[in-house]
Amino acid sequence: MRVTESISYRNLIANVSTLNERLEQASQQVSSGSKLLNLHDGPAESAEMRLLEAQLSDIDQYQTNADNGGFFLQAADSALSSLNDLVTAVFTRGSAAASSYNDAQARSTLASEIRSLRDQILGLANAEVRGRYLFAGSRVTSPAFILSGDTATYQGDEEVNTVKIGDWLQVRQNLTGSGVFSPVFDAIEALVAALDGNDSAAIQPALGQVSETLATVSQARARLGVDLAKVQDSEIARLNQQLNIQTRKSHIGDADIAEAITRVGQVQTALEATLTVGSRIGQRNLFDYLG
Amino acid sequence: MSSLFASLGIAREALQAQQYALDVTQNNIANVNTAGYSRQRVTMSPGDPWVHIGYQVGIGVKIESVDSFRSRFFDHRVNDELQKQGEFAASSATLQQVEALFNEAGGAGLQASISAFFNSFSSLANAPEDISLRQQVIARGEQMGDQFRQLYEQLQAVQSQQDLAIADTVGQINYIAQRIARLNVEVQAARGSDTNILTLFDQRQQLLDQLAGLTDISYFETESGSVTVQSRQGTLLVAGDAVHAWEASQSPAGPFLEVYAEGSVITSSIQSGKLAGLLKVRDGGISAYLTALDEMAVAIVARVNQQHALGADLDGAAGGEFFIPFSPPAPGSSQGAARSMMVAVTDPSKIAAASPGAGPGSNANANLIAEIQNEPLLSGNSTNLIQSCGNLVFRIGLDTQVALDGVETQKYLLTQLQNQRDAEMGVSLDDEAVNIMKYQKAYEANARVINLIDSLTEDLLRLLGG
Repeated sequence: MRVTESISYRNLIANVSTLNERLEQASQQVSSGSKLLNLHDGPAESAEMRLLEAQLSDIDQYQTNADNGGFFLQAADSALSSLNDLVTAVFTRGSAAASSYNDAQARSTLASEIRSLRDQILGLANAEVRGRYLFAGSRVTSPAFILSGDTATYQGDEEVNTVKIGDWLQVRQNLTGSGVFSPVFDAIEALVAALDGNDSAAIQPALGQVSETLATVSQARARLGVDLAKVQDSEIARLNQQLNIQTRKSHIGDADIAEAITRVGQVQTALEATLTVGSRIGQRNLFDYLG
Repeated sequence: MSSLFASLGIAREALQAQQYALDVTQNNIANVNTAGYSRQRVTMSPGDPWVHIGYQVGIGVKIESVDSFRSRFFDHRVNDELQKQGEFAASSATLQQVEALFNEAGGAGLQASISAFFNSFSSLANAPEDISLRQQVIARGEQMGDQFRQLYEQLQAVQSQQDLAIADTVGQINYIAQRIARLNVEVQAARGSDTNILTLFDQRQQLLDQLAGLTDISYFETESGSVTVQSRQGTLLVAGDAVHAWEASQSPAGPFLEVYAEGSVITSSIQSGKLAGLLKVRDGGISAYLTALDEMAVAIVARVNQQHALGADLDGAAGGEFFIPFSPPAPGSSQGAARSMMVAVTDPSKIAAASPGAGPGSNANANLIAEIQNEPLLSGNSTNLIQSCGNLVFRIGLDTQVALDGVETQKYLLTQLQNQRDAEMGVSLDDEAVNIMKYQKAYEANARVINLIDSLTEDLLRLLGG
């Protein structure tokens, strides 16, 4: 092909501009650490990135929910643990009172001891954590139980909240007081009435009622334990999922820095060489030799 | 009849011819960097011989013609590719602006704001009676609305820029068309005169190339030497000295400029060149992105409001509108929904997080609203909101990639074609140096001949004079 000066210059310009673009791209990858600087650098990858980001933000949300749910479940569990101790104490006092060696005076004293234990139980049933009454169902803004005489009345409802702690995983966040505390209060009411009345025949069945509630409490704790375990297990699943997503994100979005730096070097060398050669275009032509 | 003076005549003609050739060569050198210049060459031919005693004797040299090395073939090829280059360059420049709007590298963006909005309901589910969590829901809703509105308005701003650029481009097309028409006149006038018609051809080709970058054209030369230019679909632009100017003006039907020729709309017939690039992005790309945003906005507003109404607020009352409902400009239309997404709830206690009849601590409805982000609301109930975001990002990225690849391909192709064209018609300084040498030597030789004839004449006069 006949080569004219204009061809050489045009090629020089085209080559230098291509090399400059490559240099710019490679050095941007090095400085940003990302190979998806623009959507057009990888349309499918950029789109996938959005989905991965959304998943990560969901996982963060699940973590928040699990922390919160776990916190309330722990609070409920520790309340039930205390409840167990208190009900046991009630049972012990009741058993002592049942003995035939006790007279009406002694039974009445024990009854007032039991009432004081009952008041502690009321405190547990109306436990308020972060401004919400734990055992009131969804009526979290007012106490779960109101005591009138020896009768405790449940004020809450049967709503159980669940929170999402994984893509397909939900956990109960609360326990309604009616299931656990109401039988306890009923049994204690019967017991103190029997003691006050010095009614030996009624004491035994009331004690039986109290001991049955111990089983109810431990069943409720077992259920809380399952939920707490779910929260804890989900944490590991979340961390794994998070790691997978981060890995995938790096895979499609992160620049191979070492490779990009090498590329910067290569392109720079090519650019220098091109410019060196380019500067010689038109340096010598036949006119230089004409006398 | 041969004579010494006749020989002197031959030598003089020869000197003139070499001088002329030197001028042409010098002109080539002078134009070595002139864009669109095609090198010229002198064709010399022997003068008509005369017969002397049965023998033919030449009477020297004459300038037959001065031609340029224009290649009609390469001119057309380059012209075609310039049209495509103009289109890709215009569309890629605009699409790069658009894709920057959707680049969520910083963490802020459409998907992030949608995720944040729905997850704020999931946060609310942890303590639905908490006013600060309720306020957060409203704030996230407003942020998402802002994000939709901002993107929508930025896209529309790009669209309006395109409109301005379209008006400018049509103006440029008309201006170039006028210059071509004027050159048509000059070419006709130059025929048969001394004016260098080749330069006019070069100038005209240069203008045709400029025009090709702006719009799709086809052109042909008529017998009179003038060039007729029309769009590929046959809309006349230049014929002889007449320009059929195009016009960009507001169409009564739509919000944007349309291109008119002779009173009829030719917008959709413009297939390449800068004008087509601008039109395609304005009417195809950006319009489609706006529609995608509108559809997402409509889906969010309608579905969230629907679910919100099924719940109960902090006081146990049924939920009202969460977003201000979208009133479509026409039945079934979603146009403008993304621009008008606004949270209607101002009192945080009015957020319906609870299931009906339950107390303030119920979170059932908050959970259901949070779940809307995973519902297949779009593309014929096959795609959820986050996937739709991804699809939009993909489409914008791909459109930009296609345009940029086009620019790259055209750049390479044009470099090759222009090089091939230059290989034929470009000026090479080495070639011209050789030509100068050639014509200079011929000039010297002829000058010597004159010198020789002069001394012969003197010899003769001396002999005669004794």
